[in-house]
Order: sequence, then structure tokens, then C-alpha cells
Amino acid sequence: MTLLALDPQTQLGQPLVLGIIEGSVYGLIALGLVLLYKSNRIFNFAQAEFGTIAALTAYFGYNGSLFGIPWHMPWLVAVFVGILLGTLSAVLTERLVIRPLFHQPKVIMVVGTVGVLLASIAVEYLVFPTKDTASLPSVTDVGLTDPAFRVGFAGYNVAWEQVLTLFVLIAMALGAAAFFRYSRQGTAILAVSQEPTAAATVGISISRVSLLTWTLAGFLGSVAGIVSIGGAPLLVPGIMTGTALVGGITAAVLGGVTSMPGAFVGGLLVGLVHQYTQAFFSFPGAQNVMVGLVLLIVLLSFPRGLLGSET
Amino acid sequence: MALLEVEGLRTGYGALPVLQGITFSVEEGETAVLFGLNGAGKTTTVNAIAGLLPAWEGQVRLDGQAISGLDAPRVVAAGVGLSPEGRRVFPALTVLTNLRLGAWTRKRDGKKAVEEAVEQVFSYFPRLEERKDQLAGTMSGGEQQMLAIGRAVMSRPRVLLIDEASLGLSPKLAQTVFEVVSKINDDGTTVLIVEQNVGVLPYADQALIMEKGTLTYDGRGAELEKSGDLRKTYLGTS
Amino acid sequence: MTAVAQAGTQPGTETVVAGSHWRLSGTGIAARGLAYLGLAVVLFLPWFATDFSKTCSLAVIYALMGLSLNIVVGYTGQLSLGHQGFLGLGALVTANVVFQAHLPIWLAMAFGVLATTAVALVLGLVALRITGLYLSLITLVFGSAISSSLFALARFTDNNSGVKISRPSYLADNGDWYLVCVAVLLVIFYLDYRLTVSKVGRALLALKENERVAEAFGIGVTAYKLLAFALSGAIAGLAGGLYAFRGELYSEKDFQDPNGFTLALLFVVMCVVGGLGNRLGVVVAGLFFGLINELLDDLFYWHAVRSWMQHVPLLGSYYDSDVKASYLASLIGALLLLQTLIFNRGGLGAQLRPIARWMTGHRFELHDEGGSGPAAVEGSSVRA
Repeated sequence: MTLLALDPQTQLGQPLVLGIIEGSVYGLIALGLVLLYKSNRIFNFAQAEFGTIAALTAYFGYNGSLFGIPWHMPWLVAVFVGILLGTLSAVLTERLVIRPLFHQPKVIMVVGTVGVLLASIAVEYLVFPTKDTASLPSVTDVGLTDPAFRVGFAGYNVAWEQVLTLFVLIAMALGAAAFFRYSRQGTAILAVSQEPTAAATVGISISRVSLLTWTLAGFLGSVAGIVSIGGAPLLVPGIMTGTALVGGITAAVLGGVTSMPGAFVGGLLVGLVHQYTQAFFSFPGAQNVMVGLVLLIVLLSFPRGLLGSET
Repeated sequence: MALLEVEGLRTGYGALPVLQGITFSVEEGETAVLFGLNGAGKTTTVNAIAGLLPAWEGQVRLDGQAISGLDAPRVVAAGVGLSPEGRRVFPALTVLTNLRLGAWTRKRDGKKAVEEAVEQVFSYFPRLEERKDQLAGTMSGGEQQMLAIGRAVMSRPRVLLIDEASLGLSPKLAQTVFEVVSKINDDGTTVLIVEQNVGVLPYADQALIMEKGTLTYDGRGAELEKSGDLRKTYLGTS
Repeated sequence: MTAVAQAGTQPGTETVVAGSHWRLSGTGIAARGLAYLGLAVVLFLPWFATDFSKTCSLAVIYALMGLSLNIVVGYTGQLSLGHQGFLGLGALVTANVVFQAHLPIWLAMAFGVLATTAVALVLGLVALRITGLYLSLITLVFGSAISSSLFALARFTDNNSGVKISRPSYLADNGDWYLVCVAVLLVIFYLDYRLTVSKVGRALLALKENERVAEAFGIGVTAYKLLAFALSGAIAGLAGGLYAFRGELYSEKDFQDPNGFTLALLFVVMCVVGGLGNRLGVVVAGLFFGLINELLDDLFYWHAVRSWMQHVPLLGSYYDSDVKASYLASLIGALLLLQTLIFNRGGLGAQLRPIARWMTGHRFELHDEGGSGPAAVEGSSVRA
């Protein structure tokens, strides 16, 4: 693969489309990370794993057996239950780990989230029988959208579920932005993140705001899990952490760690870097190296990240 | 019965005691000033009243109801507003949002009541109205002080605690702030103000002086002003 | 081997005893001598069992990785989530030097150490500018990037089939290699002790507490930070060499995600559970986590347990999967980590301190002030 023998469709169009789709997932993870960074000033290393929990639950709800009892929920119900459980795991994280570590140094809290990640993966392995895990069917597989639908984009055909991923990200990003701008609870989260003492003196319960923040972050992570796993070839414990955690954190940092639009843009950027690297370089791990280099250069030149604004 | 009563209050940070058991009360509708040197325990006192610090011993009562033991959000809901030391506005939110957050505990009063309260704050501090869409962090120190007091008023408190209202302000600006505080007091809010600036004395009904965690003077403001000795001893000015 | 164990700990004993006012009685010396002898015997026991000694070698290598990571996390207060990268790099270089250049084993391990030290120095340079959360992110990316790229190059993996190497004939037995690992661990343990009581150790402690204040007192931040990273890298490289020869195979899969990531997290778990900055605790935790997998496996596949489990209604359907034991181990690790963070920040090291103090010639006291030499360095605080 050299630049001379450039094939416009596979080397320019396809990476653009796939990059945006892939980047949407990073953007969703990054949105949750930014939210938690705003309120706790930490990176939550378990963020992507909330997505795995949601996806695994949805899969086993749709098509599986838990503790030897087989069942078959409708797809939408299964997805709903998955998101619910993913969100619940974030709530539990806040209550059991983050709350007791509230007044500890930030590094301790970060190590706490690492513990949650490790525990989640282990519990997934112990609870879900991995040997008959295949994949959560996508919206098209279950007949919710037209399988024949294809839209041409930059010389490359896109299916419904891919477009949907992008729509979900846009909807979530807009929703999050509106939430912070217009809602009472959203401004409370911002207030606590900017001046916790003052927030307490106007009557905002910091502990309740923390729980709310983690609930939202858990929801965003779960949606990311469902969206990216639907139709993907394999579904194993730890999959979201393996595929989207580094990309998501990188996206958040590129976007300035406190900015919602930044997380959105950062996510797309990481997705594009991934896909174009894959199109032009063929050595093993090229994508990881390239994203690592981008991150390193950005952090060395802007140690506080790009686009650092508080809203 | 006084509106705000503090009785035998002991508290501190970690294991370090600061307040050695202080007792005083503020009558409804009056303005009390708490004087003292740095480190005397003034901020600790108002923070303990506001629920930011737990009381180790003793009690704080508002209109006869014990409020010591409540956390800060519940104390606000009970009717005690605090404009904290160092202003502490929400820097990346607009002036208007800062003020609206001040009415956090008044959700049941409805939007209209909140907007009326905002208008009232603007009438106290016209400068805030000019800056209402500006980010609070980009304003001058004096404007931030006005915002902090305005935000505390938004919860419509029965007792308003103001910590270091004039710190870092020009004498003229400090005077303006004191005048507004006096206006707030005239409108029916009981005020306890922590100060090092004696310029506040003409506005005070009651004066308190703290030294090393204990209360050393509790009397009428006018009397304190008359006795130049007290001023010299406690405030180092004449 | 017993001799090494004695030699490794004795000088430490002397220095500490010399500084204390309390004099050891004859029976005291005898009791402690017996304790050291007991410890030496326990360390030596795996030598008799070939298979088990291979597992024990892994435990010792984990303990070394614990010491390596402890320098970065415990002494400088920076979280590294990519230490599997150093272990893998050490293994890669060692194995390939033997395999491709046919150099002797010890020289190959020296090359492994050189390589990891150099890479760690580069990471240290990055750490001069990027700290805290961002540095932990950089280390995370470093670990996954190096293991998915460099480690997987056909050039270094004998065309993806895994580099097979063999130990020299005089170390062919797993038990012998286990003793080599133990010897290395004891030497590093002693050097780490010397490090913390030296000027360097005090400087690192000062840096961790407050970089600016330390700088004002003339402590060179740059040099000490780089030194800490280099030492950490060197120890991990040594562990990597031992790792490559333990299995007589270098395979990149051991260090690639998800295995690699789990490994990196496990090292962090070891350091925290052992007690940040507490070398004895970290070593004990490392040994524990190195062994627990194997022990749980043995327990699960022990006939009596097996036949019982298969008849329990709910558990029965799960039992046949062979990955269960290792994930149970990582669940135990995660829970121990969280309980250490929340309830017992001193970690295992704090529990072991009375014993350690007794062993180094002090009175046995459950609550010591921790004022002397190593104890002063072994704080458990980490700063963001």
C-alpha cells in the first residue's frame, strides 16, 4: 500500500465513513468521561466497561440463559434491561467506591476505578457463560430497520446501524449540552465542579449531585456499549475496555477533558486517525501507535489538553 | 427570643480545636458585626453556623429550632444564607445563573418568585444587572463580592451571614457594599457580618469581638464606637 | 541458596541494630536466627517440586514487578498502567538476543535490562512534563501500543510462532531456575532497601510530598525522577529476562491486550494491596497474586470439589469452563484492592511491619512510631 497506488474508495472514502462511525463510540465514552472529570476531577477507567455490562446483559436477555434458565426477551426490552444494568453498575460504583474515597487524593480514587474495572471483568466472566457467546444482534438483524437500506457516502456504502451510531452520538452530545445549559440539575453539576463549598452554601447536596453524575455517565457508557457491540462479530467480557477505553480517554483529552463538544470532536478525530492509519500503514498495532503519538504530542504541547473550556 | 442563638459552640478542623465554646445571640431584624484579628475564629464561627463544619459541642438555634447537626444544604433550607469567605462565585457560569442557583432551595416557589428575587438583587446592585450575561469569574473583585451577597439573598434567608464583605475592596466600594447590606437588613433580613473594617460600625446594631476562639465583647454597636479604647485594643485603630 | 538468603538480609540487620538503644538478648538472637532459617527453608521448598517450582518462579517474577512498579507508584507517587510493557520488552530483548545472536544467557539478560532502562528513561522524560492523571494515561497507552506493535513484529516473534529458547544445561531444571529468581529477588530487595535509606530515597520522598519545596531545598527534580524511572525499568527488564527463560519461550500474546492489560492492572493491585511504598508488603502481595491462580485452579480441579460442584444446581452449568479460576483470582484481587483503599490504606505492609521490625532486631510491638530509617520512607500517601 503506497500513496502512489491510491484507491479513492478504500483509502479515502471508506476510512472517512468508518472513522466517523468508530469515532462515535469513542465520543460516547468520552462524553461520560468528561462528565465525571467535571464533577470528580478523575478519569474513570471503568467507563467503557459499563458498556460491556450493558451489552452482555442485553445479549443474554435477548438470547440466552442465566443460571441455567433460558429466556428470550424482545430485542428492545433486552437492550433496555442492558442499559439499566450498565447504569446501575455505575451507581453502585459511586456508592461503594467513589463515595468512601471522596476526600482521598485523586490518584487513590483513580486506582479505585481501576479496581472497579478489574472486578467488573471478573464478574462478567464468572456470571456469563462465555463459551456460547456470539454477538448482540444489531437493529437490522432484528428487523427494526431495513436491511436493504444503503446510503452512498464518499464512494462508500453505509448501512442503517452505522448511520444510527452517529445519530446516537449527535443526539447524546446535543442532549448533554442542553442538559448543562438549561436544566436545573445540569447547572448544579457545573456548580459543584466549579466551587463545591459555594454549591453547598446555596443548598446543593454534593452527594446527590455525585450520584446523578455517575448515573448519567453510566447511561452514556451503556449506550456506547449497546451501539458499538450490536452486530459486531464478538462479545466477550472486557471487550469495550479493550476496544474503546484508550480511544475514549484520548478523545476526552484531545477535547480538553471538560468540554462536551470537545469530547464529540475528539472522538471523531480518534476514529479518523485509527481508520486512516489502518488504510495507509500495515505494521502490527499501527493504530495504537498512531493514537499514542497523537496523544503524546498533544499533551507535550498542551499539558492541559485542547479546547479546555468549562461548559 | 433572639432569632439566631449560638450556645457554647465548640468546633475546629480535624482534631484541632478553634472555637473554645462561644455564646451569643442576634435579635430579629438587627445587624450584628463580628470583629476580630485574622485567626480569631470568625470564619470558623459562621461556617459552623452555616453547617459547613460540624459542631463538636454546643448548639446553634434559628428561631428556637436547633440547626447545628444539619449539613449545609439543610441549613440553607432552614433559612440561613451564607456569602462565604473569598466570595466563591461559580466562575464559569453567568451572573444570572449564579443568582438563580442561589434560589436552589426555593424550587417550590416557582419560576416567577425566583425572577422577582433576581430583580430585587438587581435593585440592590444595579451593576450586576449590567453584567448579568457575563461569566462570574471574569468580573472584578468588588462585583464578585456583590454577586456572592446577592446569591446568598436569593434563598430569601431569615439570617444572612456575610464573611469578609469588604476584603480587598476600595474604601468607597466597601462603603457601597455596607449601604446595600443595611438596605437588605431594612427589608427584613437579620444580618451577621464578619468584618475587619471598622467602617461597618455605623450600620451595626450589635457588635461582637472575638479573640483566639473566644468571644471577648458583646454589646451595642454604638457603645463600642463611643469607647475609643475598645477600638484601639481590639482593632488596632483609633 | 540458603546462604544467599542470609547474606541478603544480614547487613540490613546490622545497620538497624547499631542505631537502636535496645540490646538483643542471646535468646532473642537465637529466635530470630530460627525465624530466618524457617523463612529460608520455606523459600527453598519449591525446589523439590519441578512443576510447582515453575509456578513459584512466576510468583517471584510478579514480586519483582511489584518492586519495580513500587518505585514509580510508591516512591514518586505517579500511577503507571503500562508496566506489562516493560516486562514484555525485557522478555523480548532477552529471548531474541539469545535466539538471534546466540549470546550467553546472562549477557542476553543484561541487554534486556539495558533496553527497558532506556525506554523507561524516555518515559521518565515524558513524566517531567506530564504528571498525575495524564501520565497514567500515557503509561496506559504506552503499554497497549508497545505490546500490540513492537512485540508482534515478525522479526521478534520468529515469524509469529514464538521465540523458543532454552536455559543452559546447568539450569535446565525448573527448580534451579526458581532459585535463580529467588536470588535475584533477594538482591533487588536489598538494593531497594539501600535505595530508600540513602540520600536518593529521602530526595524521592521529598519530591513526592512537594516537588516545589523539594526544588527550593536544592533537590534536582529532573535527575531523581529520571533515576526512579530508570531503576523501575531496569528491575522490570530483569524480571522480563527471568520470565522469558522461565517458560523458555517468548510469545507476544502474554503481554498483548486483554492479557497485557489485566497484567498491568494486576501489578497495580499488588502495589496497593501490599501497601504503597512498602517493599515487604509489595513482595508478599506479589507472591500471593503469582500463586493464587494456580492454587485456585488446583482447588477447582481437585476431584472432591469437582464432583461436588457439578451437582450444585446453579453452579453446575458453569463449572466446566476452564477460565473461571483465573477470573476468580482477579475478582479477589480487585476486592482486596478496594478494601485496602477504603479501609486499610497501609496495606499488607502495615500489617507485616511489627513482624518485620522484630526480624530486624527490634522489640515486638504492634504499634510502632515508624520513625526509623525505612519506616519513614514507607509512607502510604500518593499525590495527584
